Amino acid sequence: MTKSHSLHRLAHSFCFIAPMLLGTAAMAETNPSYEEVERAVETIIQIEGDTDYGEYLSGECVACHAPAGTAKDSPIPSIAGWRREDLIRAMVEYRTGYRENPVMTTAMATKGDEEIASLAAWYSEQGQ
Amino acid sequence: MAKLTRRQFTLLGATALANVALPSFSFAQNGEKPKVVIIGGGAGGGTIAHQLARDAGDALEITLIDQDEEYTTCFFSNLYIGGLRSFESITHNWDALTRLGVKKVTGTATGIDKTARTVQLADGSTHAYDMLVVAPGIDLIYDSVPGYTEADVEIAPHAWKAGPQTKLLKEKLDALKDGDQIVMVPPPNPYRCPPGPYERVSMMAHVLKEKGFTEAKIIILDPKPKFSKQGLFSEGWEKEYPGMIEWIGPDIHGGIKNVDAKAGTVETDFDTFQGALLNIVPAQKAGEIASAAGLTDDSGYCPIDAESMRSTMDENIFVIGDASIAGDMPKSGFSANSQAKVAANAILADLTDARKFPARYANTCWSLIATQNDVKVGAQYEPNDGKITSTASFISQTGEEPAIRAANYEESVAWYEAITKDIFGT
Repeated sequence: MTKSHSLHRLAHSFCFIAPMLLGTAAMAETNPSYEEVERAVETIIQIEGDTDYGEYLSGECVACHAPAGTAKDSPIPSIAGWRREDLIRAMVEYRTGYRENPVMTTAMATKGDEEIASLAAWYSEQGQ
Repeated sequence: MAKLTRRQFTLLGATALANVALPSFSFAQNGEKPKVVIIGGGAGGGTIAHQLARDAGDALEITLIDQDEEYTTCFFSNLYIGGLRSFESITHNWDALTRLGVKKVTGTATGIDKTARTVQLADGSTHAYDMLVVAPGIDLIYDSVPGYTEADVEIAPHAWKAGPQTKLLKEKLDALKDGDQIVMVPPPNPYRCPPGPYERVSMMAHVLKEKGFTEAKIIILDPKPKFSKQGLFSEGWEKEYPGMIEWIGPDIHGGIKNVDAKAGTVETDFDTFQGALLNIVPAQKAGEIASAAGLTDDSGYCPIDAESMRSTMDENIFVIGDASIAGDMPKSGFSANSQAKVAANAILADLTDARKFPARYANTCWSLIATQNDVKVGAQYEPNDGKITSTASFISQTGEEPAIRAANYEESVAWYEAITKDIFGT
């Protein structure tokens, strides 16, 4: 993927997840770890997620992100119905440490590619 | 018949049940739906009732037994004590779950016949089950604190089960005058909400500080040599309430010798402490029904299979939440919610053709030290050698920027809204 393509994608993601990305999106060009993020996203997006497994794993997410999504002004964003790639990217950014929130970083530390693909498959199918 | 996914199963509904293979179990006889009975409607019991109703509500008969008509969460009850939440905002009911088809029974479970698979209630009624979930939370061992009795709770409240006790503690706190002293005796391990006693002290100090009191004091006489988030609380108390809070460990006080609730004194080897308010939190054990039904071991809590939360004492019974022995997991509402998901998956795999997935657990505990100063600890867990074991964890750092602590607080408020929706189906 070219850098401009990558930035375009990031800009696209930004519309969905702006509140969390503020302050970190600008790091994309300078933070060397973003290549690691890109590589992982490219790998995981090829994996067909298991929605049943994703639904099961999402049990952990809803404790904070709420079963039907959080309020508009909540500091914890609603994630139901995001694009699959945006979900994968956000989870990978936490797993690599590119994005920082201890709860999310710890949650993602135990998620392999299969788990991220399955969670993304499940959440992308949910209503917003 | 082809293997069904959980969602397909739900869509097919009860009429398909007769055709579904139920390996090694003989439920759903005579066309009846399998019966799941849940004792306790708190963080564990409410979550599993919601989860089962949502995933397989048409295929199961789900009964939730709780002694009350509404439920006040222990988590965030310290914020009510601190004047930051209304009592109503931490009180919930099960109406949304009944709309999902859960049958709510108000009563106290007094016994379980594991052979007949029935639950007996205090009113003499019985409820048959195919699978039983026991989620009674904790009971207090009053006489674990010398001199303290159940009758004393009206004078020296524990407020470790949220409800009238919580209101009583707040009334007594709000009635204090400057120069008064609070004496708190936290419980020994293991107990519900490890950082809870210290968050409570913080919230009591917040109330005293807001009133402009400069002479009021809070003495903590701890039976434990160390406690959860100790460095964070110690730093926070020094910063937010300098000189107001004094923590005294067992190496100094030498042990609690006697509590005289009427006289307002706590006697230790070291000294006798006088309090205008005593907050005594005794040692704890699994809710009474768990031991009455023979589900506990010598620890007073219930051993479970780490892969499923199934009782090691009976294959048709699951124990979740504070009553269970959950390895590295703390006894918390978040833990109970997480354990309920694993147990729900195991129950659906037993009663339907749903797939069983590997057990994965999580917990986060936020603690409020002062308005906008919130610290958190959390971890991921999975079974290892038969025990629920931490696989990754974090804790807030001392010396953090105020903005981080303020963000933690906002996050905790959002979490409360989310998890109570997940528990009560609202």
